Amino acid sequence: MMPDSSDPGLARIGREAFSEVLATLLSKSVAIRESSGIAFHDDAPDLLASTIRLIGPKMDGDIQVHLPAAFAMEVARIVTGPDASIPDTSGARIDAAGEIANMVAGRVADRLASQGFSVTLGTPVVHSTPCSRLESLPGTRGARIEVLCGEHPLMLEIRCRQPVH
Amino acid sequence: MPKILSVDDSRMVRLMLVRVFKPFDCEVLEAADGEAGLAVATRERPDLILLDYNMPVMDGITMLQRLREDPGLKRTPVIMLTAHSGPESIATVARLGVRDYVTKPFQDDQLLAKVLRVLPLVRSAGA
Repeated sequence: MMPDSSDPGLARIGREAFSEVLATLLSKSVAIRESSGIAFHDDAPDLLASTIRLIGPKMDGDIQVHLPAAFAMEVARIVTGPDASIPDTSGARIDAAGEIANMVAGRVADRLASQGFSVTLGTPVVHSTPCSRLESLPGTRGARIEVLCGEHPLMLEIRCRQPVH
Repeated sequence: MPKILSVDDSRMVRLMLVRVFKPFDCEVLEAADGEAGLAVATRERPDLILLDYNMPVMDGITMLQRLREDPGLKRTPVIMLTAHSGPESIATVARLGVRDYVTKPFQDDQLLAKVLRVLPLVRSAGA
């Protein structure tokens, strides 16, 4: 396990990254409030989980963003505007879910880099329900951040570990 | 009319850029990866390329290197649109002559300010 002095404060990093990305994408048009123990059901029928690998010399891990497909489409419609009229297809939902996670992972990676843990990002992999959760393996540190964005429950999980050489 | 080429594997991001530049007299071209982006750039000779970093098939850095090797495209201004703007990424793209970078997600004004420094755009009549 990483020594305490190397602890990057994953929960704080995740909370800041998640809030920043949502506020920028939605132009603060939707209330975002932190919540724990919200009605977040892993087996909800329209839930998507987007996972991104973090790969670095001192740390690697995963970031996973869980979000309802309806929320992914809402974000896509807000950011592309009314003229784009994006149809609600599986491809559009997966694209939006992957890109939202990519943006969150980017903000997390920026913060990790500023603390000496430089990482590169993998390509988002999006799964629909039942969502597989990140494993808690020995030697990993993690954080789970739950927010309500409007009526949509969202969750961010981060798991980091020191690579074995 | 100026041409802006958006190279990003996310259709949502490409459509977002179409919206941002809609009030201006310009044409926004799209490509979903570096290989397709090179083909469009060779054919259309854009005035500016907005280039994602992580993409399947051919990533942004490889596309950038290929652009710089092409005598007809090597001076085309490029602004990187990246989710992660870590120091290594910035150093790499700076060596390849990238004009600027914008971290996704971005505010429209933040992107426009950087684009207008590179490519003067005129607002469409009635916009």
